[in-house]
Amino acid sequence: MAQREEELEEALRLLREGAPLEAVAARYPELAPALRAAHLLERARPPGPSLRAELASRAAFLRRAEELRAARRPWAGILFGWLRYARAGAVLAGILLIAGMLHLQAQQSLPGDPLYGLKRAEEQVWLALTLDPVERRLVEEALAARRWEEYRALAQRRGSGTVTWEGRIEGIEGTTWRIGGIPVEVFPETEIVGPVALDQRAMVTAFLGPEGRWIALRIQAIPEAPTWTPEPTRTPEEIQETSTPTSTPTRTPGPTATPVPAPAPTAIPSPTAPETSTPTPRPTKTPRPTPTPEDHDKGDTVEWKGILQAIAGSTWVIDGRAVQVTSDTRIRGSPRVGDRVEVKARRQPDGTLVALEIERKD
Amino acid sequence: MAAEDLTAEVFTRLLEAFHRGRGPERHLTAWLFRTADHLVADHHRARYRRPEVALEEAWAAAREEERSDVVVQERVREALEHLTPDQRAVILMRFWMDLPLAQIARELEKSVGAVKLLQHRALAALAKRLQDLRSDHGAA
Repeated sequence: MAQREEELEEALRLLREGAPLEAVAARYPELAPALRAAHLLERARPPGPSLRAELASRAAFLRRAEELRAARRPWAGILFGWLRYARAGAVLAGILLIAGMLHLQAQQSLPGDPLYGLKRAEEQVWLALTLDPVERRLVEEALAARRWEEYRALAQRRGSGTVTWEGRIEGIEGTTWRIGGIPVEVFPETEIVGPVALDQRAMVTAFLGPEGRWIALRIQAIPEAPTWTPEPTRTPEEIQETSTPTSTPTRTPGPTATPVPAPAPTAIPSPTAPETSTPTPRPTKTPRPTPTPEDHDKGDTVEWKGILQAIAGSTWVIDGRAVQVTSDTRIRGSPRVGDRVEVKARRQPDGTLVALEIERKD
Repeated sequence: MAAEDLTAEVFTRLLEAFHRGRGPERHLTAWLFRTADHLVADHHRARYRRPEVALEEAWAAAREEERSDVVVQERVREALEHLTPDQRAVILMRFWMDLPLAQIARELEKSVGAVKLLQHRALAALAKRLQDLRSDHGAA
């Protein structure tokens, strides 16, 4: 079909160049009727308008233009002129409405939400547009407070609750404190009770924030005055465990601070073995874990059962203890937050726990 | 002459359309063709309701060649009325206004290939219609 149209075009070109109709029709016999019709069209071409008609048309045109100009109502343009932009205005209003709704939704979003990126982008713009140093500092403080609220809301949403442990303040680097071997983020909103300083013993209440960071809710200094409490009966294994410099025996019924002068740098506040006296993050909602037959410490290997409270990246919190999940960890039963699981983990030299096996227990 | 009056009316309507803010923002030729199409159709409907008496004297005074041209023009005009608006626009722009295919395509918002197809079909339809007219009235 396209070839036929090209042939027709070529035949018409020949006709326009003065080739005889019959010769062109003989060359393209299938197009002969159409070529004859085209030839008739040329014959029937209407003559141009006469000079009189052109002048009359021009006069009528100008007359009508004059009438329209005289009938023009400037106020109508003011009153109704905007109507021509009504559609564009409606589209613009719609865009603004959607943008406003997105903005409001983004302001309520938390890390991991689809609109959280928009929220952070808005904050970056806000910060970038704030050139005055004093005002910029206020903005930064406002944004830090916002992060704090986000972390708290996120912790509540995940249901991870809070954990509490005791340990020595081993380092303070900016907003990151290392207490009992565990780095914890300290915000201006963090409640700090008592004088805290390096090497000071403290009780930390924190929750697991995004990216597995611990966010301190409260840090309470613990006086070093020895408050001797009866030492509970220990098994030989426990005694062996506590022979390492530690701060608080979490298994003991009462003491929150032992008179043992614990050398801070080696205090390992591992959120691990319940038998050890190392600082162990534990849920405040539940009482301190008590030794159960399910809870064993076999040398470097620790086993316990509990509720999977949070999953933050490779860090899982099970029954108040953080354990690292690696690619070698055997995970059975697809456990989710809230499930009861059994954990077998190996304690690393730095006190952290690396999960060997996690199995869901219904 | 009616054709000249209608032509003037087309441009007056263009002026009024611009005055109302509804004039063509582009494809001016296509807009003029559509308006002319409507005006011609209205004109023919009105003429059908109020038939005019042919000027026998003028016709008798015309030469044979002029009469033949008039017959051809009348047949072509009648055949054009049986085309679709797009086909008619292509034929008029191509053969009576000598516009290139590319410009016609722009005015009608079609591709050049589509315009070629329209032209081909329009000429075929015209040929068939003119053949029918020739059969009805005898060869021109």
